[in-house]
Amino acid sequence: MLPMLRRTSRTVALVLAGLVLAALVAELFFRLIVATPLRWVMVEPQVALFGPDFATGYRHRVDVSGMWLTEHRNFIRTSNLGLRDRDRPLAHGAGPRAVIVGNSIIEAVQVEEAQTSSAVAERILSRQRPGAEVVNLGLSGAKPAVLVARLQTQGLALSPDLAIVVVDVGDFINPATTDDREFTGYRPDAAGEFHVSYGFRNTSGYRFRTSRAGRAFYWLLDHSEVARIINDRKNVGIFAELPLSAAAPANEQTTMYPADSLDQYVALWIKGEPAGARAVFDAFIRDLTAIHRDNKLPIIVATRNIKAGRPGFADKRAALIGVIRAQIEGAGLRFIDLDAREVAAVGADRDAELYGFGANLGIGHLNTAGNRIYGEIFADAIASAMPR
Amino acid sequence: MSYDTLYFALFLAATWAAFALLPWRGYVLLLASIGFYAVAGLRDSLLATAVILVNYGFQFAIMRDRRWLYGALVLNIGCLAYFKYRVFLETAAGLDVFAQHLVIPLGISFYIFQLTAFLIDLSRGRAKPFYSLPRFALFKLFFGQLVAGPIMRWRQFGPQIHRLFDGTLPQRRLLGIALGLCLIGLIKKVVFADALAPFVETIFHNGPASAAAAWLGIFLFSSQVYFDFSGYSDIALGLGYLFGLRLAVNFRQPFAALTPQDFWRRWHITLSFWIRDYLFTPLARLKRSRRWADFALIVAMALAGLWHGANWTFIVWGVGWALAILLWHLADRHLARLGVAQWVLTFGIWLVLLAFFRSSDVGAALRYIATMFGGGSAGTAPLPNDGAGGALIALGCAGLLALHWSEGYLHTRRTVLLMRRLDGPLLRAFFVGLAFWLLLLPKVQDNPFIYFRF
Repeated sequence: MLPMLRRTSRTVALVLAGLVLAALVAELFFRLIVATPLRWVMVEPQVALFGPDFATGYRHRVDVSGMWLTEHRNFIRTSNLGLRDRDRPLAHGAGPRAVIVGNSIIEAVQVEEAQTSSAVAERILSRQRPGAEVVNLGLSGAKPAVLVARLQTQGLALSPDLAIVVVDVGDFINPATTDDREFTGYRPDAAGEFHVSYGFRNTSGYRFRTSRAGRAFYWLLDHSEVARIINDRKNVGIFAELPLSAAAPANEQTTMYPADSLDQYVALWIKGEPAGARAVFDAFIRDLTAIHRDNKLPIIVATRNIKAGRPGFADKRAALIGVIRAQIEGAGLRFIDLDAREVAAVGADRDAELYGFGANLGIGHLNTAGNRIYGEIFADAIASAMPR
Repeated sequence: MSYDTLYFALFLAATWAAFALLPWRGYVLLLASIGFYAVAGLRDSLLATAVILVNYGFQFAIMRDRRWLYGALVLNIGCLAYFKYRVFLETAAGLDVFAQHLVIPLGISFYIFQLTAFLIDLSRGRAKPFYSLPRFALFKLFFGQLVAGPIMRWRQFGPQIHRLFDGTLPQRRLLGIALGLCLIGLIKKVVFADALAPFVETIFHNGPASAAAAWLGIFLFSSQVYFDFSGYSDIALGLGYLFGLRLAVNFRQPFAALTPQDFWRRWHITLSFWIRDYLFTPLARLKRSRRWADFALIVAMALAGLWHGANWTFIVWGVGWALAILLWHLADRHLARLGVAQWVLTFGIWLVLLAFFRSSDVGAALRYIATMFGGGSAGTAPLPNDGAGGALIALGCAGLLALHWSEGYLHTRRTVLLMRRLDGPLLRAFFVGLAFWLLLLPKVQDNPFIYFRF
């Protein structure tokens, strides 16, 4: 009996030692990749950018760096303020300061920081007004309630002279907008009126992320490649490669190229259907108006994802934009139709070239050219909204 | 079910546990193989079942009368032609009979070729019939070689299947080597092939803007397809060893080949030998003349090309190889004097012809090849900027070739003996652990095994 027990213990110990050794070799292997130019080619775990936030549910963590792999490889580093931005002091400098709040299109993790639309806008404005700043408050997957909460907290903390809020109109008909379990959402009260809601604060996930164990977990993510692999796998799911999972809808954080049909948008803004989605839009404008009024902050609402430049849709689109513009401007905010500006800048036949990378040109997030065009649009909008 | 996924690893672990614990090893493996293939869908499963049942029946008919072989060949090749080539054939004939939408059943080229080889061997007296349907089914359905080979012959695989069902097949002593092979295959696929895929895709999709970009694109594709398919084949070998089965080796450092003939003795070996034994040799023996043999070679290689896919590009690719082999037949002595240049020439032929293998049509391939030789630009994809004037890219390419060369040391008797000496719980856990980390890495891009589509 005893020799058998001894043999079994020895086998178990050897198996454990083998597994530990494998983890160490994997850690060393991936570290070697990350530390050398191999990182531009080889497989490696993706940087873990996000941490918990009381106002929005999640945000970029401060001074995190690593490779972004999705869509286009890019070395990324978050700023001293925990933004997808260059390092800058929180205090307002001598020049004017604008903030751009938006989702992954503004965050632009696929391109270098200096190539993001905010950085391009800042460079253009600095030539006209030395010291001008344009701060990137883009955040992957940010839905309307997150945009409002982010402007209210991280945005106002920067004491901006102007805010641009870039909103994907498709988000108003996206059920995730009214779900507050992961991040800030719009939830209806008893009277059916929608308000920014923070249900995520009561979830075990959020409690863990803000606990001491959570902090240890983020420390591990920043210091271990294999920990990042586990985190990446947790995010995509154990069986993500199963044929059934592969057919599931694309990750919500990936904003794909706009759909052709405007019917859903016409239903929402002209017919007011579905009523819940329309109420969310009304609440979004109401909340932005309140920020504008309480802080005397000029706000430009820039809409995107209403495809421009398609002759068959021109009349329908014009009516739709007219209704949206009227409501936004009626509330004392300014309005930019980003899709129309984009088409005006490059032409309808070439605007697909602003999206995607490599073999996927035309699909996905803004590429370098797209960010440059958006930067020029933002610089123009900021310059006209903030006369000298 | 792809070998480079976590769910396949779980499937494999469950199958192996059942195989190790239960006495009905052959049936465990058969059931697991049926489950493995069922993931491909009902249509593919029904077709594979029908093909196996019909071939099972044909073996007895052939035993009675050899002429039944022709019926079997017509049915097998007809089935392949219908499911894989019908749109290509009707387009070539200027007809419009079938819908253009075509989904090729998973692994059809491989299982049809293996079953056809078995029936031909049976008719020649080089194989024995399977009286048991489960044994016959596992002969073709074993999940380690079902989807993309190696294409096994009866004399290699048949006796092993019988010993597996009879319970006389040794298994445990090869575990370390089995896991090591699976790990090497995974490294080739996940670390190298998948890493190269986006660069290849960009250059071929957008077209190379310069000769340098074109050469880089084709070199990277050649490395991708090698690491991908030889990685798959290594895993297949490893899976076989895990269950005590020895599958055929499919690759022996093909990029080290000095001549085109040598190349085909090193690249996708089981297909090359299938083409040689069941297509070229019978065709060449019809007439005893050198010219006829040359013609037979061209036909055989064109069909080998067509086996890869229903496209003229593959036929041109096959014919190109046939011409290269004929060139060496004609000028073997002179070319042998070239030394290293002979290797450069052979590798160059492989790269140039590969443009046909990868391009969507012959025109695109010709434009690509023209760009490789400075004849304008086939697109907009530039040479990637490595920040060092191309030195890092050159270093990376040299590194890929060096890795290929160093592979020779992995498949030596010395390495096998060393592995057997070190084999034990520590080494096995180490291999399993490393494979686990590779499988855990989420896939940034979907890169199925290239030969799955054939």
